[in-house]
Amino acid sequence: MIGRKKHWLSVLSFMALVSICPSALGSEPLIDNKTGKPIIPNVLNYLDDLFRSSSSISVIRLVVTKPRATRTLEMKAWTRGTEEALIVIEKPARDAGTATLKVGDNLWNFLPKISRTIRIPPSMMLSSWMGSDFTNDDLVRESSLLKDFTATLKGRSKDPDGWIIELRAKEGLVGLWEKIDYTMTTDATLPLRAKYYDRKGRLARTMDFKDVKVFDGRRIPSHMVLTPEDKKEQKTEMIYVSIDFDADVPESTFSLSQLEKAR
Amino acid sequence: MRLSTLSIAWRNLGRNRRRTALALTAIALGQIIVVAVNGMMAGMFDSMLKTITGPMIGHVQIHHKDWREDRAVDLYIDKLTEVRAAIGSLPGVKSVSPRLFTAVLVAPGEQSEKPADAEAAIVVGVDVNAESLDKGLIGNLQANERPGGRNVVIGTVLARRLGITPGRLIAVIGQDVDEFPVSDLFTVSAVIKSSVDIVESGIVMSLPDAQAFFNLPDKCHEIVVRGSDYRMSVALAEAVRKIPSMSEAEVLTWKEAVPELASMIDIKGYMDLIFVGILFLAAAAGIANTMMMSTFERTREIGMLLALGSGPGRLVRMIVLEAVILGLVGVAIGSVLGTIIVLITSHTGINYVAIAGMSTKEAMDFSYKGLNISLLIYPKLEYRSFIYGLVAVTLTSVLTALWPAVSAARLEPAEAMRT
Amino acid sequence: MIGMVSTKYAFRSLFRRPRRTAISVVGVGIGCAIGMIAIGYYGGAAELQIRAVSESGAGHLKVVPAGWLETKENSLRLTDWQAALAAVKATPGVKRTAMRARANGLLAFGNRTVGVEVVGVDPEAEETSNRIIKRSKLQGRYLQAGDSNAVVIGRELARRLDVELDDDLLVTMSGKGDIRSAMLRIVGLLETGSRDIDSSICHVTLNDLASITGYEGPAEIAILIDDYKLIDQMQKALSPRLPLGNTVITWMEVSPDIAANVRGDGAFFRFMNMIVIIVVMLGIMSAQLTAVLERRRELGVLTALGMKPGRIVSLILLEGLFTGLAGAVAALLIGSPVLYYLATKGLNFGAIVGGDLGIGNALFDPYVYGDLGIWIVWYALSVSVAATVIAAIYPAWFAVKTDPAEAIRTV
Repeated sequence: MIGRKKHWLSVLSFMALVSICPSALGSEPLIDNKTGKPIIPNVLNYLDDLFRSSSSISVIRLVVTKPRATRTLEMKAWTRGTEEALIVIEKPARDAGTATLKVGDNLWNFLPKISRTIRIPPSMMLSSWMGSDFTNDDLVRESSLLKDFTATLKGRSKDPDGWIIELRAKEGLVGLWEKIDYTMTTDATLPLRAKYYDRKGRLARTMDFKDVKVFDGRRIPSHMVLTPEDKKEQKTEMIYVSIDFDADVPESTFSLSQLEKAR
Repeated sequence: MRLSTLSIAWRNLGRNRRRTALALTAIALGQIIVVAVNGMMAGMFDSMLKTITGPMIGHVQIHHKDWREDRAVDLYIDKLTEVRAAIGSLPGVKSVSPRLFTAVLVAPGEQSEKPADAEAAIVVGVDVNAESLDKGLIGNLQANERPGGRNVVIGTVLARRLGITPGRLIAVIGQDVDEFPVSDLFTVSAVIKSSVDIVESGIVMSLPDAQAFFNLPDKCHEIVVRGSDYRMSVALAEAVRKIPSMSEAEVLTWKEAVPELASMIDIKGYMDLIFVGILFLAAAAGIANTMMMSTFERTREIGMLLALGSGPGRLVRMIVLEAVILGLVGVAIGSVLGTIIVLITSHTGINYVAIAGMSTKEAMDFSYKGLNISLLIYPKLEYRSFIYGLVAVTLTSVLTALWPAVSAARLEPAEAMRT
Repeated sequence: MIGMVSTKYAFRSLFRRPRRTAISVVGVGIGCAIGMIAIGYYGGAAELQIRAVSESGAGHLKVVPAGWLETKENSLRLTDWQAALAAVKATPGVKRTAMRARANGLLAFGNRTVGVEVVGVDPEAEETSNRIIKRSKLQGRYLQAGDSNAVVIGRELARRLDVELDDDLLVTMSGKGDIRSAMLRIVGLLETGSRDIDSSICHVTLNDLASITGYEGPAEIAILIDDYKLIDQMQKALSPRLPLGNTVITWMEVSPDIAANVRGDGAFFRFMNMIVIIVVMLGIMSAQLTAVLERRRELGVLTALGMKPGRIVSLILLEGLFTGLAGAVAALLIGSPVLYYLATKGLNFGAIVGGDLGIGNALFDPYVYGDLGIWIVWYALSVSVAATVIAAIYPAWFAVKTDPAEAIRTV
């Protein structure tokens, strides 16, 4: 099946109906009281919406560790639903002003050094974003854990202590991952680890979730570490310094002209 | 007795000038063909090899040992200055040419309302001096068009795709050795037409510019080394491998670097050999024809000699001796003339442009994968052609005189005389 | 008029000395045959390259969208491709056609990515007309009509991505207006032995390419013709019949570097050709001269008997002519089987090279197939007749000048 990017209007509208206050999450039970086990569909739904909101403004620190050098970037991100996002680098000075704009399936980069905006072609889509282990594609691609994967509860895990939910890509899903193993906390409210397996079932990368903090009423891991399996000396850490959910973000933020003036 | 047979043979030849002259001509011609055509083929082959082992491919190529598989930016050769010095100090080394390759995105550099659709391209960082030589990557550029100091040169296909002309700006966006994004604006000083794909659809930057841009100080991806003679490539490669800083690197001779071209050359070599062989056969046919004809025509004469009491064996010996003398003298004459032809043409060259039916301008534009093809041959004297000629040509003349001589000697003298 | 007398005499004199005539004719025949073989052989060399390039996918001619040659823009498509295809098929001399479209994309698996040019093909046409497919080792199978989301890649490419048969690759390409992705299952792995080719092959069906990118229809129709020498005529014939917006180009415009090499070779070959003719003619002439000069006595007798000089000259020339004609026939008889073998079986240089050679995008098979055609008749006739007649001129003149008494005294 040829996949185009999923549109999340359905999820979005559901969210909009459900969200009365910023912390709308958790309105559905995650653990079955009788068995003590996680209720998978609810957990997946919860995970899907963990970082989403109708809009948000956040400050993020990105630390990229490479064998030769480690770089730290500080950036500010504006999002609107799942379709629009603007990320602007603020530090270090050498990269300050570099911005990435996502609208739907398209991605643009603004490069202050040459004062030009370029549209990202396919050849760049799978190359790393800003030198990190995240690819441009990671930013753009949306999959719903609930909709695109078949989930099975695998049981308890020791280290870290929690529940393992195995997600297998459904037939026809366009994406790199055959399987993702999510390790959730015992109360299934927070992800602890995600292991991504390629289409041959080989472990390709691991994402660890740490440092739970409360941002704007939501309890989420603020520190994510992505480690590629084939390059162990390398990792990327995304640290949320602050997140303002459901902030006032006008539509006009996500335009190319704004991209160049963005601060 | 031998001596008198020889003197008879000699006198026979002298007596019938015309016949002797004809035979000599045929034989000499055969030898001229062998020497001259061989010389031409050798000259052409040599020129082809010189072209292939020119600045593009060189005699020896050096890379990081995994680079050719992956072409990744971080598979570089380090400590370039030191390595260059070490290689340059090897005996016989004429040039050491480093290159750097990276994949980037490019877009027109001028500001406009719409964002640019970036095109993928390859940046080739070169030592401008080395590559501006006659057959180098940018050999056909004027001095003021060369890359360097924020100027770059792009290929015609890329220029057309982006709509950039010389003098305009080009934005180059890529990732440095650590995969961190880098971008900058450069001025396009020239648009270059090249038969090398990478250059046609890519950008040529000066090495220092490229090293700075991609954060690869004192590094490169490929070093092309040329010595004084392509035939010494294997020895040169060995010498390079012995340099301590090259112990981990991949050092290849040009044949190992472009094995397919090398195979093509081998095939050409064999094809040429076959061609010369065929040509020789043609000449040999001429010699054979002549010798047989002239010997058969002497049946009457032979008959008379037989009638006069000469033994058939002696007769045959006489004729064979004549053939041997003709052979040797003919080969000698042919060798001298052939050598003269080769020597003269090796200076002036044989320009077969006219025969090819092209204008000189077209001929100048010839190139194949960046290697200019020349329609000028400089024949080379090959000593072995003398040996081949001596043996083959003489043998031919002797053998082809033998058969008619023998069959004539077997006849009844009376019958022979009646011919 | 030459007259019956001379003709009859010439004829009879040839048959009176059968051995001499036989040697003459055979000599001329062999010399001429060798020349023919040399030329047929060398002509095959040029053909080797043209064949390699055209059968490796470029075709002898290609119908492409106008403007493609300048920008090589992959997103261009043919205008009204059905009409274009019909026009091509209706042109006589067309052997095979293959339609294709291309797109630049990225193949990804796990953490690995490789940039490729994805080629959408018509599986049946591709299999029969592209020697890269025909002559490579195939693991799995090639594409079939009706395949959906299937891809065939080169072995080297598979190695770079660290994938095998039946793995699912993620492909990302530029589509109409935005970026498109799809999953492709590897149904076949191709290996030609050439690293260049094996690391770039990525074939999907035309339909798949169209549905992924959104660009409908083929971007090129590659054409293989029966006789490569008629390329230019075919181009002129086809050009006006194509729908507007399309143009037909030759392989030489697509691969100018190989075209240059072929022309360079062709030039050299013509030069060598000249040398061959000269050598052959000189050989024949020297033999003929010898033959005629040996007949001084006989000619002296004829003169003494009152034959007019003019008649003697024509006699000798006629003999030359007949010898030449017979020699041409002999040349054809001797040369044809050799040329035929060369043309059909070819000379195999495979042992030296070890199989096929991949250079750039073309797969060269190491066979030289000699040239064979009606030209051999013209060649045989012209060379042998010219040689024998020219060879007869000097002795004819000489014979007439000689004092008959002196001539008869010759032994």
